[in-house]
Amino acid sequence: MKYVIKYSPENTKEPVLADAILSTKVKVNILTARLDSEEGVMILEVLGDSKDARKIVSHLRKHGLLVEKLDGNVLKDDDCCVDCGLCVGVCPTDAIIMHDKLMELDNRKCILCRACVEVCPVKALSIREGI
Amino acid sequence: MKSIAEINEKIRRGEAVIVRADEMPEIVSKKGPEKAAEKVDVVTTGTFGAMCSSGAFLNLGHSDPPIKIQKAWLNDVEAYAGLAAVDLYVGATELSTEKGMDYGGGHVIEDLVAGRSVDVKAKSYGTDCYPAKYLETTITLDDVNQAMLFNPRNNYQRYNAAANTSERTLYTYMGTLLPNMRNINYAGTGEISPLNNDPEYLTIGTGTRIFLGGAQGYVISEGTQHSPKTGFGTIAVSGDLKEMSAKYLRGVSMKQYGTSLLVGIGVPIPVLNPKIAKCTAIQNPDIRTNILDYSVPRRTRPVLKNVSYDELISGKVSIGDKTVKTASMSSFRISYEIMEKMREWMEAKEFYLTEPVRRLPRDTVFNPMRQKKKSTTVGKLMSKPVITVNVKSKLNAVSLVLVENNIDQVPVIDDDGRLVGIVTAWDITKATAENRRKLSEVMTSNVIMSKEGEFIDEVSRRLEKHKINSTPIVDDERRVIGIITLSDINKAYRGLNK
Repeated sequence: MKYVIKYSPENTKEPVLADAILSTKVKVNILTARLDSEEGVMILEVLGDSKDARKIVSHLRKHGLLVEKLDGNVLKDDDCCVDCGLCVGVCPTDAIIMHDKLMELDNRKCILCRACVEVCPVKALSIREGI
Repeated sequence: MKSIAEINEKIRRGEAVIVRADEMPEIVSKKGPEKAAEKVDVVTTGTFGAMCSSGAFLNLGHSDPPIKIQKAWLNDVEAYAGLAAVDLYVGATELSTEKGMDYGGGHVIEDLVAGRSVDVKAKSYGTDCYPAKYLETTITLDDVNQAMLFNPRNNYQRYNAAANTSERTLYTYMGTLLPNMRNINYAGTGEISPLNNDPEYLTIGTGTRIFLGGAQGYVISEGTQHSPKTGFGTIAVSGDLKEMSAKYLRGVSMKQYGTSLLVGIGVPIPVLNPKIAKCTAIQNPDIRTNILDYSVPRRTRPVLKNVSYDELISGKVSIGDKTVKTASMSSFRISYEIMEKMREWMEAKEFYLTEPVRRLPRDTVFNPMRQKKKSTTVGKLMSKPVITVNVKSKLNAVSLVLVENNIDQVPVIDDDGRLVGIVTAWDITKATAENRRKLSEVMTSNVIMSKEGEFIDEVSRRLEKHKINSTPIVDDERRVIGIITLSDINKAYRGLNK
């Protein structure tokens, strides 16, 4: 399970994630992190079952972080996409594949690296607002 | 054995047998070319991809007072106006003066075809017959007298595929190429691509009616760079933009490269005889191309592997011990739609075949440019011998070298003379302030270097990209043999431009 975590200025000073890991003993893998003193976005993969995921998510939320399941965050405009497949080659996690001449996007595998958004020649891909 | 007139008669009677190019291999292998040629009348082919040599002629009509347009912009994209007073040519790769690579001529064409209005700005020097000097207006496709899509080179029979063995990402007309050969981009639709189905130009010629951008268009002649002998044939095409659809003409932006136009083209191949039936039975495993290394920015790029379209389309190609993902720049979904659309048109008796009035050349080759003055290699311009310092030197010794030679940076070498770093006066100042003493910790180890055989154009781009003023020139053993600065290069450019 992957989650998008958003930090605000108040909680960038606290080691919220470290606390969460230590107190829940749930292992996580940080896939991407963009942090500065003001705010930040992290993508976490929770290694464990859904119970573990709930534990750590609720801990993070209790400490003021915004946590959303990473699902459906890359948006594809079907009318705009021409199914060329240029995005397939730059996707580091195989979240995008070609299947029977059509581009298929599996948001569960996505780590929001934006590589596909950047290369799309017709600008059919975008990241959902607020992420 | 069959004539185009006979096939048209069958289309008229609703009896023509029309199949897609991908269906033909099985028919020919089952029935043999003779029977296949008897049974099948037309094979449809299709492609949909970025075709940079595309553009449109527009006639705006005369303003009052009239203007002889000297310079014109459509949605801030310059259109060529060196024609009669109000004729313009907007080319697919021209960039917007305001939006840069996000919007270009290809997008202007798409906007017009989609029925959206386009802002026109124009200026002139004014003449007795055309006194107006400035013009600003807004037009739609309905407002112009003629709008002709006119593409001097479309529909390449095949393309070289692209990969990148360097350590940095490259942004090319073949898309974004990840470092260390992490992706391969290819273009063209292989066995369904029009010219692969008639490689000897037995049926495709001047006057051949085709599917172009969603309407009926025509082959004008061979395209520019037409090189049928090497399997890189092209055609020049034209059609009425007013009849076309934005579904099959799409503006595109290739990241950090520029803009282009996705063009949908379909060519009907009349199956006149067994030989043509056999040609249209071509399959992806038979169509080969080279994967080129785009990290070498030269006219001739090294071949990484010769592959078939079958391998490219499979999604993975192995090169050495690496398996590399492939990605297409052409849309197979829309290419198939184009083949189906042509079949529908013929079945609805809306599309008839034409007899070409001139055959396309089968023996032309694509020659390189005649260059009066060739670009210079950095080896010819570099300063030598180079002042260097040994990595074991003390910082005050390095300072002395900088001061005595009046330079602000110096390459650092090891005992074998190999380049290991570069150190600047600022690095030393900083180290002194921070009380650091070892040169190896003070210098920059990740040096941007060049080779003596590289053209100044490549090296100048490298300097620009890394925002640096000079680069050491090394040999194959990484030994420093010279150094070149931006001002050396600029001086050489001024010489070339004289």
